[in-house]
This record gives sequence, C-alpha cells and structure tokens, in this order.
Amino acid sequence: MATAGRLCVIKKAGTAIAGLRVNSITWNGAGIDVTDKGDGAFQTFLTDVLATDTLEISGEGIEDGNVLRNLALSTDPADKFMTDLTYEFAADADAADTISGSFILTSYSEGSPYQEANTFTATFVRNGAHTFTAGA
Amino acid sequence: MAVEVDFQTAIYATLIGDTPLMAMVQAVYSKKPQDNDAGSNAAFPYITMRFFYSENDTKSENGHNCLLRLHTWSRTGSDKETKQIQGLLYNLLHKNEPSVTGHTVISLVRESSDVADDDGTTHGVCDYRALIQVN
Repeated sequence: MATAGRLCVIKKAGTAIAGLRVNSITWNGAGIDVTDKGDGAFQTFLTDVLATDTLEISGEGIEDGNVLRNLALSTDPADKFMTDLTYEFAADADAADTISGSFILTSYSEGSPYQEANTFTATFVRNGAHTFTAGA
Repeated sequence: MAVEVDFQTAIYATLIGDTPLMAMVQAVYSKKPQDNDAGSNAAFPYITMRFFYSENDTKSENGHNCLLRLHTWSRTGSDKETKQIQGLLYNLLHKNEPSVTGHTVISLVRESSDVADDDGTTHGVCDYRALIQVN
C-alpha cells in the first residue's frame, strides 16, 4: 500500500526538523571493476565488495525554527557533524523503517522571496556506517 | 476555531476600526443585505469581502494560503471614489499583518487592484494574499 509523503520525516535529536516539505534519500554504490579479456566484453565486478557506498539525505521546506540555519552558519566545524540525525520512512499504522547514524551537513541554502515565506534546502552526507532498522 | 472565522474577524475589525475608511464607506459586508425584491438595499459606497483558502502545510505545521478579495462598490459615476477607497485599503492592509486568534499571519500583501464599470456601478476589485500559520 502506498504511504503519504508527509509521514516521512528527518529528525534531529528525536524531533522532526520544522518546516520540511520534501525530504529525499539517495544511496549510491560502485563496484570494483575486474573485467578482463576472458569476460568477453561484459563488465564484471569483484564479488561482494563495493568500492564506494554513499548515503545522502536532503530536505527542503519553509524556514521555521532556524535549527539548520544555525548549524550551517556556525563557525565551528564540529557543529556540522551530527550523531543524532534519523530518517524516518513513512508508515501509516506500523512502526516506520528508520535510518540513523552520523551525518555531516554539507550544504544549506536559504531563499527569501519577496512575497513568500523563507525557504531552505539542506543536504546531509553519511559519515561512516549507518544503522537501518526495519519497522514492524 | 476555524481560520475562516478568525481571519475574517481580524480583517473586518481592521476595516471597521479605521476612521478615514469608515468616513468614506457606508458599511463593510461579507454578505450585503437583501431587499424585499431580492435585490440589495445596501447604501453606496460599500465594501464586500471574499476569502479563498488553499492549504500551505509543511510536515511539522499546518498553514493556509488565503486570497482575500475586497470588492468596492460605488455609484458616483466616476472611478475616483472607488480608487480612494482602494488606497485606504492598501494603507490599512498592505504589509500590515493583523493579529489572528490561534494563527500567525506571516505575510499580507496586495497583489492586484482593478476598477471596472458594472452597469452604472463602479466596481473595484483588490486582491490581497495572506500566508497564515496555524499556532
């Protein structure tokens, strides 16, 4: 069954980041190419090994509460490193799937259109391995 | 309460509370009074209000995007009175966010203003856009 996008949230320290309208998650992996002449031109990868495994979380919405703005504009680099970020997938009735781990805030932009509310976009990149917990 | 009630109450109070505006118009209506012949017996000039809402939620808060349409009705035979009233409305509402029970008005701006002849009645239409957050 489909689930509503509004139920999918990014939380910091257990509290949903205010003002979000869209959040997304992107995983990318790349294998190690071991193609040789014997593979007959078919690309072949080293079994069960990934050269890179990246996970990125991003969000955009209406600025409300300034949590991410304060982190982005802090002059202390340590503020960009977060251990309390979770990504909670949408679940209508059952417990939601969640991702938790260490993330780095790598981009933040904020727009102030004249006749609209302030908007923002932010990107978090996983730092080390994450923990994925399947919901009920 | 509902934003439909609370925001309209705030706008109505703002309009009828303004001495220069009320010196120019006879009344402000959400629904103008009806005469026995089903026409209107509202004395000119007067203002009527309409409110169009759409939802403007985020994942953590609810909000509304309201188009406030203020109609100005005049029978002086020229546009001047209507435009004077529209100017007073602009001074009252543009970038002047009212206090609304249970809500925060983030922004209130005029988007357009128009005057047209409506079979002998000068009909002004001003659209204002309000961004409203539910507290």
